[in-house]
Amino acid sequence: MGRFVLRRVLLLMPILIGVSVLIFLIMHLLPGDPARLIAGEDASEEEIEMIRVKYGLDKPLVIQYLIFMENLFKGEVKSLRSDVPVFEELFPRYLNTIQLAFSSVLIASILGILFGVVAAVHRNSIIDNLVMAVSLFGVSMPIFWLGILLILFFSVYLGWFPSGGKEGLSSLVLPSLTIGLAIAAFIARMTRALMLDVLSQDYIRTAIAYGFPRKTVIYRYALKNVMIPIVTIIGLQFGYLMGGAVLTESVFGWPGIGRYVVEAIFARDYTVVQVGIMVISATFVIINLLVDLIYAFLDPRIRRG
Amino acid sequence: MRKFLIVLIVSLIPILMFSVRYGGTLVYVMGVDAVTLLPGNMTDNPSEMVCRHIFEGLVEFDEKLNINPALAERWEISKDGTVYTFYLRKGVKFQDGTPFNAYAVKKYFEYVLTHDLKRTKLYEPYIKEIKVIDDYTVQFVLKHPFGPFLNYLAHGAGLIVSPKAIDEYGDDPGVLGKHPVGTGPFKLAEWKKGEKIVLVKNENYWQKGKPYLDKIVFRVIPEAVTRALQLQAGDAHLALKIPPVFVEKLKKDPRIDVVIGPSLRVLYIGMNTQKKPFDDVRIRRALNYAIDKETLCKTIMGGLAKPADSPLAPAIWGYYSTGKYPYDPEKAKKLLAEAGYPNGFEAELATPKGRYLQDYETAVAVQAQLAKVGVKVKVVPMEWATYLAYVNVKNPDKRYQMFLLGWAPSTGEADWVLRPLFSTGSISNRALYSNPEVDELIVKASREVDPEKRKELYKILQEKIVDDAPWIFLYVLDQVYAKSKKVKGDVALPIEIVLVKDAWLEE
Repeated sequence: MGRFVLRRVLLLMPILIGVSVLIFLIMHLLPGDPARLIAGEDASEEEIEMIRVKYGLDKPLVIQYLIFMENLFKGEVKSLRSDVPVFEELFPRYLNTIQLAFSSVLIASILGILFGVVAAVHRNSIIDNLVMAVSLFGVSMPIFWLGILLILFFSVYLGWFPSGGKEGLSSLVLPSLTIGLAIAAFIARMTRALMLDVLSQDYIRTAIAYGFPRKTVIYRYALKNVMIPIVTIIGLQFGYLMGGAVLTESVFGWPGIGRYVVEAIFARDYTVVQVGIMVISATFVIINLLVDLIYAFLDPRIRRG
Repeated sequence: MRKFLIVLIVSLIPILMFSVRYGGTLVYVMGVDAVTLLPGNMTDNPSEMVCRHIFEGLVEFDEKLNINPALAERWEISKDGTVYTFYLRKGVKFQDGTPFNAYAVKKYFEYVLTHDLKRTKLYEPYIKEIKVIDDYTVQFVLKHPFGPFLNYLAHGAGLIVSPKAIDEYGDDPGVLGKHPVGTGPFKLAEWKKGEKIVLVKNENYWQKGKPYLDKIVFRVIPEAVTRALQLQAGDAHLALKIPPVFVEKLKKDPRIDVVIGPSLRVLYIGMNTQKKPFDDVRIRRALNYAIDKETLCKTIMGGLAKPADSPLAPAIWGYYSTGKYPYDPEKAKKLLAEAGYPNGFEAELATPKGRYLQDYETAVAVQAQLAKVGVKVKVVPMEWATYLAYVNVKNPDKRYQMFLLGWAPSTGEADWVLRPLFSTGSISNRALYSNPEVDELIVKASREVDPEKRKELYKILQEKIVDDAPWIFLYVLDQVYAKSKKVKGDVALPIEIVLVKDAWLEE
């Protein structure tokens, strides 16, 4: 187990170097001159040129890349726009993104699994149809629109939650709901399908025939067996969310990592984009590792193998 | 008795006028976070918005862009226009307790001039040296006479930073940008990047009795619809950049005021004057006549713009209404025929999408209007950074034909419109316009010390440029923000800055 984890962590290095090269090339292939964007719209030629020289944007690409890597190892990569170390700007946003991703996935998992199981158990009943209809609506709804509707209803009319910004835990509710509901719908549909499959298998029928309590059969024997694919989905969703939920972050003014990177892309703030995407990639790899570890916990066969 | 009454009335005026209320927190929502709080290093609007509450300059703009005393009580300009002597206010202290004096002024501007900041080149071409005459008198000696110099001091980059803060953090502009120390009415309490900036009252502010607010929270909400909803939900007091669709809705809300005022931003379509058929002035004039600006402003812009008849916005000192190019499609057709294009021609019009209010929509409307006189235009929308690269391409063969852009001078005066945009060879002169007479007049105007003579030169320049028509002059944008009716005393500067430093909240 230890070796498995170590190997996966070591694998991170080549992945990150690959990502850094790729992003560096893509950013420099994009049309757009960071010096001009940073200098401001009404900048003079001298102002633009000074910025170009100061940030080494006039140097050959290979040199620029090497300077970037050197600064990265020293932990001194600075944003072209603010001259502040990227990690310093990124870290609080990273924590915010973890917060939002975690609470969204929590809402999504609880609602999704619960409704999925209920729908499967009461197959073809009114509840089942209702859950399926609502979840179809949930997966097809644009996040942007749902977010604004939630603000209108819960902030403008009811005044229960803040309409945006980040003032205490209450401002986490609406953005998490916005993302959580969409993912919950997806998880509910998956859970239902998987549960239906398992419930029709022989060992379940046998268990019911032996007279085991219905709840035990459903939650211990059936649900545990569908958890592996569901955990995979939840893990993947969590991974995606750690890349930032740009739309939700924009609608609610939630200061997460996604918006930070997207704003940097528009401003061609190369260093921020590079570091931002490297951090997002590393997170994604680590979450996948965690998901693999959870498999082992859920399925003894994997642990032994 | 009469004298007594006059004294009584005069002394009552301030009380009647300023029935202000002390205390409270004002929540101010912007679309983007500030980048840095070091005045000499900032090039973006949100940073300036915040800095103007923390710092003060020698002089400052009012809402009409007049230049008023701030940290300088008065000033003298030498006859030849190269020496500016400022007499400083006494008893002013920076927020860290350091006294404000001539040494502090010299220290800050020398810091900007020598540290390769993003605004170093704003001053470096003009300032030769800064002399301390005595503790409260400081002299700026210029390399040559420069008429708009006071505007450059009223510019955001001219806000003065504490010498102690420069000593402590100045080696790294990024660090100094996080530790702003000025003489202004508010000081930084907290900055959560991407989220909010909190300013608190400066208890030792030199203007007695001010400020009124205890706290200002600048909150970042990128989505415009949410900003409007924040006002309606009562979660914010003031919101910038309200989308036009929301303007009408907010106007109907009894708790909210929508404030619409002039900005300096002129939107135009540049024509590549070096390329056929735009090298013919008759074609360029024809296209100007073919555009119905009034309708454009009313429909596409929802009334949030005024037709432009000069490269200068009317709020800029020296603006002259040329009255040129009323909508006249017949005249346009006639001019096109004279130039040898009776059936019009085809061309490409590049435009950013989402950079300015309704930019792409304007380009499409222009396309429809030009089609009426036979000019078939293809609209090519682009993302901003890509667009900027496109309009700055160096290779003459790859150059554009027509492009939509806006310009607003951050110095709030005419020179920083005319010189960069119409001087031969200037990088911002993307129409590649060249008129030696105009070049000469621009330099002459900028070095003219007598305001009346300078104004006259600007008038001639505007007439000549509009006559040569390197642009299709479109419109001047309004600036729009919305606020709770409780907010009083807010001030909008036409340089797209809304100040609440003298504001208060009514109950």
